[in-house]
Amino acid sequence: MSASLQRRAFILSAASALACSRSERTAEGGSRGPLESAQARTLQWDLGPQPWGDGRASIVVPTWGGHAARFPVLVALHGRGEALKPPIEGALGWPRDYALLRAFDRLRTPPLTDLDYGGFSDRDRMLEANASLAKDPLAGLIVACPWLPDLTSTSTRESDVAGYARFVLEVLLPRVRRETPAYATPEATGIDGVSLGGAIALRIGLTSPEAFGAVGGIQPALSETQTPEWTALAQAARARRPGLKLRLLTSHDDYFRDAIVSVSRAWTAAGITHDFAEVVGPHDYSFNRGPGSIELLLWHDRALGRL
Amino acid sequence: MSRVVLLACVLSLGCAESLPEHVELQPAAEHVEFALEPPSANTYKMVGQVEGASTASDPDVAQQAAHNDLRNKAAALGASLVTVDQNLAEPLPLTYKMKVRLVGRAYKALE
Repeated sequence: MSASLQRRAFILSAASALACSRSERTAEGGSRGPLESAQARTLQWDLGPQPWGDGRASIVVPTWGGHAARFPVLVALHGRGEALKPPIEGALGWPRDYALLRAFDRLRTPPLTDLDYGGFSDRDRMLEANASLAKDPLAGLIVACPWLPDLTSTSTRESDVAGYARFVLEVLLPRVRRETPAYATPEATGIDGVSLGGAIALRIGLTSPEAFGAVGGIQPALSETQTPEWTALAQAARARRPGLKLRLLTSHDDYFRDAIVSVSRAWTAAGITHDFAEVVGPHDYSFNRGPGSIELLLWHDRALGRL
Repeated sequence: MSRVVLLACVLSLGCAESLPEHVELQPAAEHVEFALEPPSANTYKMVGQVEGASTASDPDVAQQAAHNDLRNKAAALGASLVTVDQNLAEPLPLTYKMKVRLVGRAYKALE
């Protein structure tokens, strides 16, 4: 997008958002925009120039609970498609393009149905989710969704990810804790992501376990040749934080399924306890907009501490 | 490579070829502005859902073309404002191209 078009679009977006107050009926008689729902709202932050590109983030904040409510924080990284967009667009991956706000609404008003999973529901897993939500309603979490540059060409090595990790730990999370009703402890902080974002989230979480209570990857872009490396990283992370919760999630038609299964088996053989799930669905937007967002929110809602 | 993967690749390439790489903004679409949120019902009426799509080697070119396509489609409905409700960008396998599909809602100002 040209700079002038991007600037124009952004200015008009902001003006339009201001012109349309939350209590107003919208033009189609009540439906909301993609960045606001009955249960959450989205903040858009400019975090300034960073060594790897522009720092942009969308922050999804629950709107229930009143002024005294506080929530854990989940850093959620998007896939490669968003990494190739301008940062202002890419940062909207989870809230808008992966329908995270719709997932928030549905998890707060269960039961979930096959429609909520975009047709990719596993009956037993959906029943389990509904039983869990009936017993313990979604308590809520703040989801920080920063733009992630395309690190694919550098194989997501630790040295390549270090600069981005510093941004997450030293720029993004401090601002989330200053400006939103967030708990600030590591136990109440998680990191996860999908595809490229899943691999980077695992890399950041496992190399900085003192900062996180839960680390996951949804269809993370792993390679089978990296299994020993991911196992060593997880072992080291667990040694530094024994209570660290881990989760790997893949799907039947995920291109990275075999590599993720291989890493999970290696972790189990090495005594690294973790949650593993293989669910229904492909590796694309339709998965993210169904099972992806639901699994992301529900697992971290249960895994993260509230202190 | 399995036959299923091969078929998927062929289908992807086929779809990619059917999408334009460059989309000129039509004169009638120059007045169509973007908005992140739906406008007030007091001033705008929704006239339809619109989609814009493009595929290009350069991600910025693909985005620009898809945005132009969206504005052209909105203009064809007589709209002056369009939201972007979904921006789906997928690198295409076996090409160095990016496919962008935008889904939005078009609005016309009330008289």
